[in-house]
Amino acid sequence: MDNNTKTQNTHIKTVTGASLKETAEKGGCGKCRTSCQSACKTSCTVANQPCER
Amino acid sequence: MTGAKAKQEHTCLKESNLHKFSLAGNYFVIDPASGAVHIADKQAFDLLDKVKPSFFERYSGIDGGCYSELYNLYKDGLLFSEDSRYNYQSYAETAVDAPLKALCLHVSHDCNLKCEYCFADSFVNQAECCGESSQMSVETAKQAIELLVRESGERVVLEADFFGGEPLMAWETVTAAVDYARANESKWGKTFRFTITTNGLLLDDDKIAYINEQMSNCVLSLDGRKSVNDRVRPAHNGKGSFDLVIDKYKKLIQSRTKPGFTDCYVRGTFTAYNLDFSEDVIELARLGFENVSIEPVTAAADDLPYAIRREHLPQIYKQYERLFRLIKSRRLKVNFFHFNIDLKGGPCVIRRLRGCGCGNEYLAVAPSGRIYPCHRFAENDRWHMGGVSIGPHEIDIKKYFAKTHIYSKTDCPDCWARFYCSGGCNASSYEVYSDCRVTASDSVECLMMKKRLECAIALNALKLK
Repeated sequence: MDNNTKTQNTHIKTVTGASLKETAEKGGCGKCRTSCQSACKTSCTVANQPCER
Repeated sequence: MTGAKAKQEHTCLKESNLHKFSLAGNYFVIDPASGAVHIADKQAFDLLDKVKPSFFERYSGIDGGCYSELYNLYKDGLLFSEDSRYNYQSYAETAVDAPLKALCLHVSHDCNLKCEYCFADSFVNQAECCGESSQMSVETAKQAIELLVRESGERVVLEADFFGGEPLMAWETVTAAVDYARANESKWGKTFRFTITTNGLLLDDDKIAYINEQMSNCVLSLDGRKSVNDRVRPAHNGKGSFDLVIDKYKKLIQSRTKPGFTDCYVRGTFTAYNLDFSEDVIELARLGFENVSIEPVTAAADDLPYAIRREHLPQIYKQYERLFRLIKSRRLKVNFFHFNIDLKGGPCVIRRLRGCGCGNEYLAVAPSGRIYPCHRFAENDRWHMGGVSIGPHEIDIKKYFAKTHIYSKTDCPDCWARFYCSGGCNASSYEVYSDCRVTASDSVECLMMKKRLECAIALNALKLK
């Protein structure tokens, strides 16, 4: 669907599909790095961390 | 029916299940729950102000039309998704305290700078007044490493970051902790990742070589332009620190080539004094630094002269937009930390429910060996969790943080950015609202975060287009 939407649509193009919901079933391993949301350290958003599985 | 009422009934843009914004002539649409990101034309962008899910349940539109395209995305779960559709909340409700995976070691509460905005000035350069050493002993540091191993369960990769104060002022403790961990990691079946955050004053060739050999990440503090840096980051003699560190930083980065140990950021702070902070990013790039982070200052009170206030937001937004345009056009070749985002991957949704994991998967250790949920809670008796030799024994605090997630925070469930920022900083919430679970999506901190996210999403969406 993702690719079809990307190629067929003329008004709205999907650049990334349901990337998040697909992680729910296989996620939660806890191997990813710790992130710090505090501005005095890194104010990292979790979303910019890589998955390390 | 009044115009206002009609508008109310026909507009369904609930921020939690659809977010749209335009930037530099592009129109972006985000479906937060599914993670989908779309680039729209003006017609589709505007039409999203008028449609709502109940329309799509009744009418599919004419094939090939703008409405029809939105209808198909809705039917595929890529527009107006609800978290409940994917049952994300069940992961939060079953959240339990987790093994420890990271420690922040405050090896020194001394510092050789007197930064005007230091978030830790309640304890940095103050500890000696309390009759305690302001430096962590080698023995305490080793016990902290043992604590990390002991509490880590089956986790193999463990993180320890050396923080302060200024950690280079306790260099013997830093190297003793690292050497102790390296000497035992095979026996323990663990792999350590070390990070150090330094102001650079005490860097020399030996320390640079050691850091580049042992620290998988290194954060070098510098605020950008010399005039900006020196105003807020003076040494104890009142003179600015820029000239004292710049060549050392360049040397460290140039010799940082060991595979797996190349991560290194020059990290600065912007304040009300430099609301034109894009100039500082540009200056750091001009100086040759490729990985740059410039963060908004954390101020204990709004009336402090350097504090970011609401009236500063328009100017700050323009700075982020300027950085977006410069980086997008490659006129500025820099890896700006806050614009990094992996739209196709990144952490799983379960990880995104709880952010940093402070007090649960991540703890901080003060020089005395006392344990706190993170560096922001250090030396706050309310959050004292135990000591390195036996703790953490305050299990209730650990359980509290395990249950602190986007669905237990006040504004986060209705915010489009919930799966990107994961509820923000618990310590900031505690500092402002005396409650880690209180958030305000219209706070200055959240609004800056959302602006950065929009720029990051836009930049990376255009790359994928």
